[in-house]
Amino acid sequence: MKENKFVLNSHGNGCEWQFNTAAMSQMSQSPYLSASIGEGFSPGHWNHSTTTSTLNLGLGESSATVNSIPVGKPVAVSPREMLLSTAPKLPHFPVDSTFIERAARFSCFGTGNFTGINFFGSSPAMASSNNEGFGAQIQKDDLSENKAVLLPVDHESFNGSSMKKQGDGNSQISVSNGESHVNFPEDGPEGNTGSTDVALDSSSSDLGENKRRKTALDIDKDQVQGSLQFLSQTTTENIQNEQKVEISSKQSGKNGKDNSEVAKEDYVHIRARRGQATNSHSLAERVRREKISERMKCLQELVPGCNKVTGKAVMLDEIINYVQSLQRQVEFLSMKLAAVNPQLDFGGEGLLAKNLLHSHGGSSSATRFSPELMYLQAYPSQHTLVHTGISAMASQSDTFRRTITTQSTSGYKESSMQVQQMHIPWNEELIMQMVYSANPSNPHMDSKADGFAI
Amino acid sequence: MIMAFHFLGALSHIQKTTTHSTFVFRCHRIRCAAYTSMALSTGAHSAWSRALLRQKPRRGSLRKRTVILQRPRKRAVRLEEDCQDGADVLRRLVPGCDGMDSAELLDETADYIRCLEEQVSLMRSIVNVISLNFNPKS
Repeated sequence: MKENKFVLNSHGNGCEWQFNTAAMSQMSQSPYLSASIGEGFSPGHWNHSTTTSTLNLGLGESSATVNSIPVGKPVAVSPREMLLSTAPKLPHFPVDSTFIERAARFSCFGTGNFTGINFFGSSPAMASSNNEGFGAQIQKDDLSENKAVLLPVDHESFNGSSMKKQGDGNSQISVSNGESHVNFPEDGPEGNTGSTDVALDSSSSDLGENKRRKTALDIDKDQVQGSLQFLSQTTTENIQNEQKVEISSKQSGKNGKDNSEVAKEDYVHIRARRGQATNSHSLAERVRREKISERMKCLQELVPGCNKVTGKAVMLDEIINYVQSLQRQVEFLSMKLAAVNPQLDFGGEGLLAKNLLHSHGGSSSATRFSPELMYLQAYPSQHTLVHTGISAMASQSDTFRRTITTQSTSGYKESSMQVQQMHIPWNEELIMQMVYSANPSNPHMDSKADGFAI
Repeated sequence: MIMAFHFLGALSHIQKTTTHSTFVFRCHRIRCAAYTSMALSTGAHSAWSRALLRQKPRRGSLRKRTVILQRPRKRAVRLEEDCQDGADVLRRLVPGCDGMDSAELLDETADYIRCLEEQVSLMRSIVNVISLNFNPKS
């Protein structure tokens, strides 16, 4: 099963990840990582992996407060982009526990953009940033994302030797091995302090981003890239980097620096920005603020003409105005309907027939509504819906059923365009239906409504 | 779709029962029917729809839905720092959003706006159909 997960075909991702089956067998210890890697490209899995895995990067470093938001979709995309951008050079993956660990570690320090959930922010930069010796250079953002995703991976004992077996051909983890070197004081367990710059020095988030940056050493994209590449590459360095990242994260936490990794739990994880306080209150505030801004963006799309508006206050005013205008429209239209209702008997025959024949009420209402007709014509898409609705009350016509079926299957917006052609001939049908139909039965309508429940 | 069914049903019901009522009364009834059909089509997962259903138990089926657990009031109303007035106004506009903090308020507002737009377009098309049905015959 794990083998399957790790076999990432280029089809989906544009790169080919081939994991050693043997290595994969070793992955028994790290189910989460495998899940994350193999399924990383499916949004749901990320969440699972992030939430379920207990990434013990800090191995108990509580101070680390790097919170990675287990966002599935963004994460899924970033690794894909990463893979695509990075020339896949890894025929084999060090599919083993150590690999998983590293993946986890890399993901840990990557957590740059969790809060903003702007995982893809830096993806375009990925290609450009590849200046390191290592193959794929993943933007820090991506890297952080990856790391975030992989965070849940348990930190397992690093087996440098096992990694070495993997061969490193592809893995050119830009973990800035040669570049900035984050000195991880605790290189002990890994034994390879070297160039593992995966400076996951959580403490410093350079660039003021949410990602974990390398510490004073050139924490930069390299690390991010490295972490990303780590996935695709299996080098001892990577392993080391992972460990170092982990270590750095631990240390950063211990040092009380800004970024700090925390054991992944079910709550939202955020990474503190550089220079920002890391106490729980400010972090929570930041999460809240970002949530609000995210929702404001959604509202901006809903409210017409608010694309250029910036600022919460102005945006709020626009929203309020729009809601008020919509409510006023509802009132106005209900007035219109109240006025027109006496002339239109939805269920009765006599009144409707009278209207059809004499249209005595129609004229009066028509004069009232004529100014609106031109405007109302602008909403033809609803006509079919109305037709179907009205005919539903009659519940007699075959065309009604056909239309309903059409609409239910294709969505009324689309079908309405097709059915629009029937608009005019439908008028007659509708009226006839309304005239000759018995009283509309609510239960019948309800049943139909259930059938078409969206 | 669901909204159309509910609303048209309500319209026919009003049509039958208020033939001798005043225009204003019928306006009010139709407006209530509009909001109720909005809430019915949304279901109970929105606070504003629940609040609307609580206010207007027009149909028997609604009464069952009114038995909806109140959302536990969160600790504090987290207003946006600089937009408290706007948030207050919004709370008054969107039903059922009294104890919410800003994030949930914005969520409810988005949902409410979507539903309102749908309802408005539905009512417009109904009026249009009715008018068109009348005009050609005149």
